[in-house]
Amino acid sequence: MGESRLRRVGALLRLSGALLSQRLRYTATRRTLLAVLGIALAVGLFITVSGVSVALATQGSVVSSDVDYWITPESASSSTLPVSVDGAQFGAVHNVSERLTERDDIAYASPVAANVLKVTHANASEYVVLIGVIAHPDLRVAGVSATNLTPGDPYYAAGSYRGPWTGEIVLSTGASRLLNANVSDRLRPNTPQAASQNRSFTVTSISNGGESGVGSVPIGIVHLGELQSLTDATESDTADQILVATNDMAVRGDLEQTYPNSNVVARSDSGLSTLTESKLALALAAGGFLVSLVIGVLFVATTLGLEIQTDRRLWATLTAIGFATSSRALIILFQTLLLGVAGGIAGLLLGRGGVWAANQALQSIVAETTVAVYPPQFTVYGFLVAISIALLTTPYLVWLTARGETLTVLRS
Amino acid sequence: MNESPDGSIVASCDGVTRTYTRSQSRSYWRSLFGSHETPPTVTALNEIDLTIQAGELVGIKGPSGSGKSTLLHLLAGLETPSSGTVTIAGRSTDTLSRGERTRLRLDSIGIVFQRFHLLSALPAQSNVAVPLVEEGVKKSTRRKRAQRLLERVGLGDRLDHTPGMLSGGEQQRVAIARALVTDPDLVIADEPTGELDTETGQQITALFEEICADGTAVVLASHDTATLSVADRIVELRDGVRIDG
Repeated sequence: MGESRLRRVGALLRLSGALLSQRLRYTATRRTLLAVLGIALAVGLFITVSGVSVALATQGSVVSSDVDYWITPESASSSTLPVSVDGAQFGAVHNVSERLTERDDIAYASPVAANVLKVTHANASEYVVLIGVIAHPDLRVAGVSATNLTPGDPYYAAGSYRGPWTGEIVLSTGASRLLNANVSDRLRPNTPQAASQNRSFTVTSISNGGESGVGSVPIGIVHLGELQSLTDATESDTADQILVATNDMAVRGDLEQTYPNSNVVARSDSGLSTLTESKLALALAAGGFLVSLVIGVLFVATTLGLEIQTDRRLWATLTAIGFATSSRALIILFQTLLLGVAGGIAGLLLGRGGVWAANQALQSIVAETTVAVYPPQFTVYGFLVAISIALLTTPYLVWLTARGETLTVLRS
Repeated sequence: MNESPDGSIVASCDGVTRTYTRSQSRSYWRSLFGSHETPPTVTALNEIDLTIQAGELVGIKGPSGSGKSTLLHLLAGLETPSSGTVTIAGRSTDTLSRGERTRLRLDSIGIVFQRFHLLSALPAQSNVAVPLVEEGVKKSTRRKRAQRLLERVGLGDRLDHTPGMLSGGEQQRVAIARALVTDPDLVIADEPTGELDTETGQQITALFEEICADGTAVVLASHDTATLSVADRIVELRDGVRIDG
């Protein structure tokens, strides 16, 4: 009995394939391709939106759990707290940090600038969040330790940017895995400045960290001056925030005076803030997922619904010769799943294109930076969206086939 | 009840009446707005008694609108009677769910349509084997059985031809082979020669005779007296009533 049922399912699968192939080749090429396109657009949209949201979250995850306070520009709301690619930045950050570090009640202060850059190792290029800091043995950013960087920021050299180029980089395990890079390996950032100055980084250590609410984030910690020189941020000596390590609660008031229009957030707020960050990213991703799903389902339901109407004689014939509703449902399910897989593959390509286009568009307008990323998990998520669209559309299509009056159709 | 030749009863109608409600949608809106008029009904079949024996070829004759197709659809379990009982393979169709009637069709009834209704994507052999897919029969068995039947209807050399590559007569032969592939007790054919020329129509009619000779009952509705000439007996309908006595 079980074997016969399996055989039936297998045969129905082959029948679905034959019917779909016929439709694709002869009877409804355009409509079938439109259905695939609908799924592809939905998946592509999902990946692009999620790519941007993950990039935001990635930048948002650049928080330090070992720093008591951080100062952020006021325009960066608490929900986009640490870094915003195109948001407001602080200027003259080295001087300010130096001034703060000189205080007795402050252990150290470091500006933080984050840029998502393409980094090449061997022949592989991947996007990595490069975080520039004034190194300190106790400093950890996004869980990644800066211990193995030469303390301070030698290349900055009192604002001349002519100090020794250390080329040191500490990679998070995620970045190390992504780039397949180990200690002592040489990495080349893909920016025009790096190319013209022939700059590269050497991995000094691999550190745990970079884990965020959306998975492992590839992070590389470098000296701020070196990052600034690669991203044209030397002129105003800019960074996204300033981390301040202190045990004295009283410094908060002074910190608030450091920059006009700035916020000072205490570590005690950071749990909430990180949570908010991670939730924001998740909310964006979930929003993208839902919107894509709705668009995809509507698109596929419309195009395949029309197809069912056109093929109503086929469904009426199958009913008349004894095909149960479950068998017709399986045929439709297999067909929508096949279209879902095809749409998923096309959607992944579209999504990659969308992420690339978003970055290209921004890079041509603003600077050498990245607003969208494509982590490997997106391939799985994209397929999940495509399959969900197929699964959600199937009941409606099955209902359409059952709705057609067998007799009326066969007489016509 | 009718006189029967030999063999067991395959299908029967006892006092079968089938009525249809006209303009159901209008009646729905009227009822929604408070009108409780009884919607007008049309009686397609009225108090029909009929018994079909194994191996019998029963012709159904009558002008358009006489109820031929309705009777065939009742015998195929595609519809249920408004009153009376239709029994197929020992089961009363009005007590069966839609799904059970679908299964009954698969197991016991073969249907031949006027317009063939083959699956254009599939070659003849696969078209014939389609009902066996639903039965969960092994692929090799499906292919063998379909091939045997296609050879029987004279299309042994057309196994890989899709419907588009076959003539009307050949398509109808494929449809007949498909109707026979599950070894049904009853084959129902609605105007099977309606789309064919006279000579091809005669060949198809002869096929039905052969089918009956093997013990399968055939109910064949047609306008064409030549097609019906092979019937063991003819049931004549007019305005939903039997007039053949």
